[in-house]
Amino acid sequence: MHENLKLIVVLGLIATISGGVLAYVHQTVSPIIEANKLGPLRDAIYEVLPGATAFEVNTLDSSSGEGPTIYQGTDDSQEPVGIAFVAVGSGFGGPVEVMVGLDTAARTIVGIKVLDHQETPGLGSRIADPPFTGQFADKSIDDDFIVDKDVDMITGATISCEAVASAIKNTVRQIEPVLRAGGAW
Amino acid sequence: MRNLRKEFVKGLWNEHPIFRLLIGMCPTLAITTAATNGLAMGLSTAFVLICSSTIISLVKNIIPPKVRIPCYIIIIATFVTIADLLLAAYLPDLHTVLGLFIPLIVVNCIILGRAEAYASKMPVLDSFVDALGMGIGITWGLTFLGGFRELMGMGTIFSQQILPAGTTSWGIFLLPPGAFFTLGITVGVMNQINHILEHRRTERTSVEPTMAGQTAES
Repeated sequence: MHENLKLIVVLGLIATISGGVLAYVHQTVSPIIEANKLGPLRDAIYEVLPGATAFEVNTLDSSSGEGPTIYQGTDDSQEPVGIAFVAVGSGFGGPVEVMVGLDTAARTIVGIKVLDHQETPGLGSRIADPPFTGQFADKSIDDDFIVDKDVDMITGATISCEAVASAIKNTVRQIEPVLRAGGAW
Repeated sequence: MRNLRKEFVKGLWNEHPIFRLLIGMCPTLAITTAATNGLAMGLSTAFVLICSSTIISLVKNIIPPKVRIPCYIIIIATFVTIADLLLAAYLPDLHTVLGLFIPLIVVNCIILGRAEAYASKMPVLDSFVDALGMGIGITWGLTFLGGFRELMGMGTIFSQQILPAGTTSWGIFLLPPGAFFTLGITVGVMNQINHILEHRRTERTSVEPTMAGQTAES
């Protein structure tokens, strides 16, 4: 009985110290991690909408607040330059989040940027690199987004590439009402 | 002092955890698709290994043998989580690339292997030096494998173009089979070098039996 008590006390003690240390480290770095997450989102919006200097946050159905969040970019003179939104697809290692910038008048993609993914390092992770993301610039949103046909594929990363293509396609269809109104509410 | 030097050097070649003991194969095969990934993974693993070996050696006398494995795992997991949080905070780009392989360091048997086979029996300084040598060994091993596969697969090392542009690159080296080819060839070459070295040594003298490595498997 005495020995069992010792096991519990030692294991409990080590777990408690470990918990304390982790709580301290987490508290110290979590503001930085949060800022890291917010920073890229803002940077990504400006990256996929060149010319935008400010943006407004809207949702697809503004009255109920439902549907995807849409960032409406405006330039220095408050003129709309296009919209940006986050498209989520299901990749090989988990969800793939892509920021997409659209020119609503021309119905083309301005640019895309992969925000977050858990794809295999060195293979699927290359969906985030310019050789892959660059091909979406000036692409019409009425395309079919079929991988290996009108979207160039990365060898060994079929599922990751499909995740990006279908994420963009599905979200574009979802926000079609906004597009028809010319990107206005 | 002589002894510490030996403890340090063994992890670099003779008891190299990846190429000689062949442990910790999962991250070795999975993440070495680029030199940067290998280096980052190697340094993260080394950090966890050095910290956990030192702490385990410090507290080895108060841990009852019956619960030693859970205790080691808690200590290792603590340092892995710290490494994960620090990477996410200060090197977010690298954290994105390495993704779920960082939390998986917890179950890397190099670390638990060193804790069980070495740190739980030896003094703190020896454990620290042992972990330092093993950590550097893992780091050069993963960086070498990553660099080689990146060179063959994309013609670059650390994303710098090495082979002349337009050289046919062998994409298979970036895929899982490439990991096995590269690892197998490296282990073979190292064995051959050791064989030659040993042959020379036995010609000169005929003493000093080779060290046997402690092994564990994941």
